[in-house]
Amino acid sequence: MRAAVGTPIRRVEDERLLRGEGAYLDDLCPVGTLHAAFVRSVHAHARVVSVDATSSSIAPGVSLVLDGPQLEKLAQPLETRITAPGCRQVRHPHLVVDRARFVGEPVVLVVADDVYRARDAAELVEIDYDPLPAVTTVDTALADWAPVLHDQAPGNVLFERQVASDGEVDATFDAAPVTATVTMRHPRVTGLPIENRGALADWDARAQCLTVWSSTQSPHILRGALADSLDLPAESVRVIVPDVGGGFGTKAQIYPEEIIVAVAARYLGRPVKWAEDRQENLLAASHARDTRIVAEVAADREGTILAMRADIACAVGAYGAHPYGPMLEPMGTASMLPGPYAVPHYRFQTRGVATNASPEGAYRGVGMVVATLTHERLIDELARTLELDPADVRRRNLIPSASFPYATPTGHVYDSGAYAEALSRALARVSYDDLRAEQAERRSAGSQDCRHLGVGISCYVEYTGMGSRTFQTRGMLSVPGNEAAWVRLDLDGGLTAALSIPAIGQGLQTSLAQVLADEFQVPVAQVRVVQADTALTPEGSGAFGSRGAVAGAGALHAAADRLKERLLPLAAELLEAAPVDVEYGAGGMHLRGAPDRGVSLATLAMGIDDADREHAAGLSVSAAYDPPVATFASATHIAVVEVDVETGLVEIRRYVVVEDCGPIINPIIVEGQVHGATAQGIGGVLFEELIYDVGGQLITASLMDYLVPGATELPTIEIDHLETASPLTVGGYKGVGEGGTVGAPAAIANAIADALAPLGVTVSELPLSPERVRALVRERSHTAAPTTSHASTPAIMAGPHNAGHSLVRPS
Amino acid sequence: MSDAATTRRKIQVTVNGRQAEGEAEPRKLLSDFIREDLGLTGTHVGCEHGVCGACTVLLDGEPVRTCLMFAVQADGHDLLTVEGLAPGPDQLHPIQEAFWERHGLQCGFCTPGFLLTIKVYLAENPDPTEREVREALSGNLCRCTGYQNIVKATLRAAEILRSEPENADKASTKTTQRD
Repeated sequence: MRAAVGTPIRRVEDERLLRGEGAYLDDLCPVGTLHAAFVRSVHAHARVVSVDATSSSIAPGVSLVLDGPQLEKLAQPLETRITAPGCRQVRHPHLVVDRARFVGEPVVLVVADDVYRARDAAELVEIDYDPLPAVTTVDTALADWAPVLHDQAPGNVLFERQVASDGEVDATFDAAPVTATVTMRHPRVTGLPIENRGALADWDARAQCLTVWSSTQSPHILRGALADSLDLPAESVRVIVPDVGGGFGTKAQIYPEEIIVAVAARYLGRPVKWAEDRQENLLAASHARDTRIVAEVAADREGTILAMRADIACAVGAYGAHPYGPMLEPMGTASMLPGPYAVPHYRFQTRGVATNASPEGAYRGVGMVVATLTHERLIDELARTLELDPADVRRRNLIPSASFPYATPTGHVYDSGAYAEALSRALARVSYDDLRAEQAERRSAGSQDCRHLGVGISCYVEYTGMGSRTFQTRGMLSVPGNEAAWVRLDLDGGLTAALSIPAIGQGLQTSLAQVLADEFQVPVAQVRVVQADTALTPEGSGAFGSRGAVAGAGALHAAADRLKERLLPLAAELLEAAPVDVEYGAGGMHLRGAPDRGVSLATLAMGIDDADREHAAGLSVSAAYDPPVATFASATHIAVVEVDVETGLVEIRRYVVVEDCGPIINPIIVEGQVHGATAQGIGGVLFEELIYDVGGQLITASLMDYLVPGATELPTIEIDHLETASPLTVGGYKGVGEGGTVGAPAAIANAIADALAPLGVTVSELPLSPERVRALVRERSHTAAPTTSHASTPAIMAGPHNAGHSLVRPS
Repeated sequence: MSDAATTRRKIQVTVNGRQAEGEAEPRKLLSDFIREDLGLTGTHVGCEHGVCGACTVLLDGEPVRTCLMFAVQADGHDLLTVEGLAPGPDQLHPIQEAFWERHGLQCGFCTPGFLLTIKVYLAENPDPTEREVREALSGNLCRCTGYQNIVKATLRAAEILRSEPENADKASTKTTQRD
């Protein structure tokens, strides 16, 4: 029954947050809390010769100073268990032991009674470094002369894989009448939640139990990491997630700092808190993308795709992140490059390369952002080569709705979708034909207008809601992939639920309350979803991979069934009937076929209380749910831009999204997710870039240098919905958290490339800041031929390519 | 650290209409004083260098970034934080109502800074256009909403405030002044 599901109810979490009564990590401060500060490496790559903490240790208020070797005696480094072929394990100490590998890597911990004093004392620590050469790009890290970051990874390759769907890829290319090539570099970016990272740990010496509050997306994975590292049984570790001020993947990783505060709390027998500042966040929280890719498509003269091949390399930073390892971007990009199109033959080579930079982790749309950017640029290049409309080339190649389930050449099985319908709706919404007519008129008029109109289309498909089989297949053994729900019938007949998936701002406490309310056919007001606490749910994975709706609804459904089963005998007793004659109906149980003869949940709750004192605190159950391998959401984005060739400024005139995340639980929440994700995608394509200089110093370590879009930089985002149910998930739901970020860079990049097409320049490097757009325009004015070569083009793909330009071969 | 920097000074403020007193080192940021000494944790710190706007409160009615001020600078002044915005426990301020109604917040971390910025802005410009709202909000960063529903909520709040009789006179006067 759907009563609450599908309705745009306002969020239950909001009143508290609006009154300033949220409780985020740094708002927690138990009596006696001590404060942690870290001394971080100022070198990108250096041997630590000595650490002198003499003055620091005796500074006012200081209770503990620890360096790497001292910490190793108290806690084991994390072992990121990855069995994926081509993946090399490297050692990642919590604090630098002998060699620092990126600027910002924690070297020394200082704990004091006040955060100001902790930072004062941190400044007194003297570290003697012996600097080593640093590498911050794929090219330099792979060079013959490059320093090797880890002995276990010669050549700095942390991950590599080559896969071909079959042996016919090259033959297909050789025989194809048309090919197109795209060279792209996506900058290094970061999720940048407005709340930085943070953790608070408390050790109960009598019970030998550890409690950690962390602003994390992955409480159970953190519990496992703490248990392993501190050599405790998992049952003795409790992780509680307070209100979280945004995650976006940044908080899906397990970080050394979270482990270190727990070590300090156990050592000192006092609560220890670390609240990150923004500079630390930019230096040492996970980064993402930093991908360069050369990809080619082969097609016939009508634009039907015959084959694709690609060479991908990502600068993944100094270590693989826990628990995902170094393969998130390289593998995600490679496996989704065919996108929503029928691609008969495909081959890729992909690499994750160690660089002297903060480790890469998950960030909204991981892998799929660059995959989509690339396949959409390829389609546009193919269309331009063939002088076809890019919308027509897409229509010709989109996987038709009748083809599902559809197995891709990389082994994904798309479950359902309406790709062509999404494209048609988006084209209609922007009045595509009128835009092309306007563009043709403005171009043919030979106008002196410095503003050029561009239209960019982006069609994509994304994996969401992944279960255990996905993470097993990926070889990520520390990611269980399943989730659990705990549901209690309260004494007043209300229902309280907790999930292993934390709320991180995405509105889970409302949308899952809607799901649970419908499971029990009660008003949403009778249902309460509390924040994740590993003491309430036995197992789980976390809030990442657009899994909340799929895994959350699945787990709640299983728990609801179990609770109803448990209530049945009692209802039968109260109704003086045989259990087989009783069924669940609106708000309680009643005699089969006689809804008027029933007992409400409130009566059942009291009945339990009267009949059996053991249950006086309320009956509770928990249940686990393993989502399907994946369910695939999809969308079309269209951007209409005006590019000012004199200033390089890009104005987004219209932005339309037609998304399909299956049945919608709460329309305002879904639209909010699309808004925010799209904004982050737009940030990545127009503004955001983490820049390391050649020596490995991050020169964008403040929000004045790392530019995230503000209200004036973003357009109105218009949204339309399709609701193609998944045949694989409870309720048919698909995930929606990441899609906007996946679609936006391709739409904007294509729109800018389209606007600049008459100049004969090609977009190959993001972000397309005014400076970079002006450089493209200047490139045109300084060269005679429109097909210039690009100095920044990497030579990472063997073969006869003019990188960045379409190759038309004689048939 | 010199004695001058670490000698605690007495600080008296009016916060959300109440007198409050505390002691802080001269180097202590106003944001930390509000959160730790006044116990008002609704004021959030997002960047500590004056860019994100999350720590915005009203000082004598004007929005200030409390991460860019020392607590001692607020001595003798009047502060309004997010906790003082709603008229009471049963009622929200119209801007809070509008944010709730229009889904103007997701994680809620940046929200207090937006609410206080908007309060001052709508008093100055009670009938803004969408473009004007975007410009007024351009000093506050939000990473969840793409500002879509914050803009809508602000326009809705303006509408509610204009329709309230006690604000109507003020609104018309202000509109005239603006021109």
